[in-house]
Amino acid sequence: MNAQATAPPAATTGGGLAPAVPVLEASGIEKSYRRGAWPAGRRRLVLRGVGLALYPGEVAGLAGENGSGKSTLMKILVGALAPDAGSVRRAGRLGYCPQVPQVYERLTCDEHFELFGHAYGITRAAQVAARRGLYASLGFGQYAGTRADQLSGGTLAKLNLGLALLADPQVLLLDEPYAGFDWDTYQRFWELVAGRRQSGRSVLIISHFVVDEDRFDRIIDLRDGKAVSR
Amino acid sequence: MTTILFARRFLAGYARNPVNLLFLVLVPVALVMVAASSMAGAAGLLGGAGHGSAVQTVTAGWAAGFLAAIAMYFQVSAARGTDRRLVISGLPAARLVTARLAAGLALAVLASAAALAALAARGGGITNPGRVTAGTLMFAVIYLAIGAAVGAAVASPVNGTTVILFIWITDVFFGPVLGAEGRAATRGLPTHFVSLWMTGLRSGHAGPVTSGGRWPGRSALPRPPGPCWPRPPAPPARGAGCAPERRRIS
Repeated sequence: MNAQATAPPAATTGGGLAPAVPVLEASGIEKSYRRGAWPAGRRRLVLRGVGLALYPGEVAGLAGENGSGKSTLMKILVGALAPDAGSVRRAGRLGYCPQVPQVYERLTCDEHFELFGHAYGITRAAQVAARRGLYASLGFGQYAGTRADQLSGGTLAKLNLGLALLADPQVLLLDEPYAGFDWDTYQRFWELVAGRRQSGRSVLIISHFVVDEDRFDRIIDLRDGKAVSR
Repeated sequence: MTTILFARRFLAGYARNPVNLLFLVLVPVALVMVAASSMAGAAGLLGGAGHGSAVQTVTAGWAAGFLAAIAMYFQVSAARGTDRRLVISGLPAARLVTARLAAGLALAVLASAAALAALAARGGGITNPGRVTAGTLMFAVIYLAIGAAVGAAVASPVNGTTVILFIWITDVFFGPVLGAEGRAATRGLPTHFVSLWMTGLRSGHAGPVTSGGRWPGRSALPRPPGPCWPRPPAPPARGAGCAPERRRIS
């Protein structure tokens, strides 16, 4: 485990008065995949004891080359994939935006928000208010009644992100969330993230390259199956 | 309340696919209205227990089963990633499974209704509507489970539908009505007993209380010794088991 990827940044430790408690903590994560058919197949170790922690009010970036295991780690962090070894501890509600939009093709945007509102356990009034806010922030309100399979790639990415943001979760895990966004939407995305940070929410963003390094509190590189802070 | 909402949305997703609706009409029309009489003729050649109207009646079950399996396969396989995302978001997995089951049962009823409507429209009516309706629904529910199991195991739609088609063809062509009467190996087929019960044919291989409601797994067990079916003077026995008694019901 790399100590740097789990250490709290100075901004989140309350000026050194009290150590912050992580809202998401992973330690000793290992994961391997079998490549090729049995018996000739070999196991390839993708994650070799990854350790990272995410603190309240922190925006962290997880970067790495293609195939470095970023999405695998993200799936393990949200609980969609079981690690071979290691443990993950989460606190509070979790919002997850997968790299490939995972939606019901023949349901509309409104219907998706309705179902995910029930899944998060928020009231109908809260869901409607949050949905309206997201439509306005990301600019896709005109597609509220459009089926997911009829949305453009960019609008589908907005719906995908909107479903993660709907319940204003304590921890947001976003896997390449702005792929397909135009410049305006990209800017609005960062405004949303800044708003979340101000209200004490934590965000972990996966990207294969980081262009706006100053927007992150901390960047963690995934190298040779281990997490290393920049 | 949440479960009903989810089931309703899942059914809406099914209904919004025009291919599903086309299937709902085409499969019963093709099997029950067009191919049934040819299959009845084929049953005689293949040595099946069914004949004439029995085969034509059981085509409603075959149509309902096929429709239900395909519908449930896509319910499970196409939505797997999004279903998982809902659970990650906090939806209890049991509630999601219940909603999927409720939607599946509604699809089974719909598939059965379509198949029975085709059977009724074929002309000549349905002689024993209670038994035929229950049998058709049983076909649909059995294949619903098959569709769900294949959907959970096979992600690729091409592979999944091929597997379902293979199971269905094996069940139909080697089953007791159309194909292999009295062969122990075919007693494990998914709708072996339902086919016999629906068409009023006695299974003839498990004792007095045999005709309906037995699980295929149990039916595959060795037959107990002794007389297997009290019957009036019987026709000559065929194969290892007792000869089935034939009763036409439709």
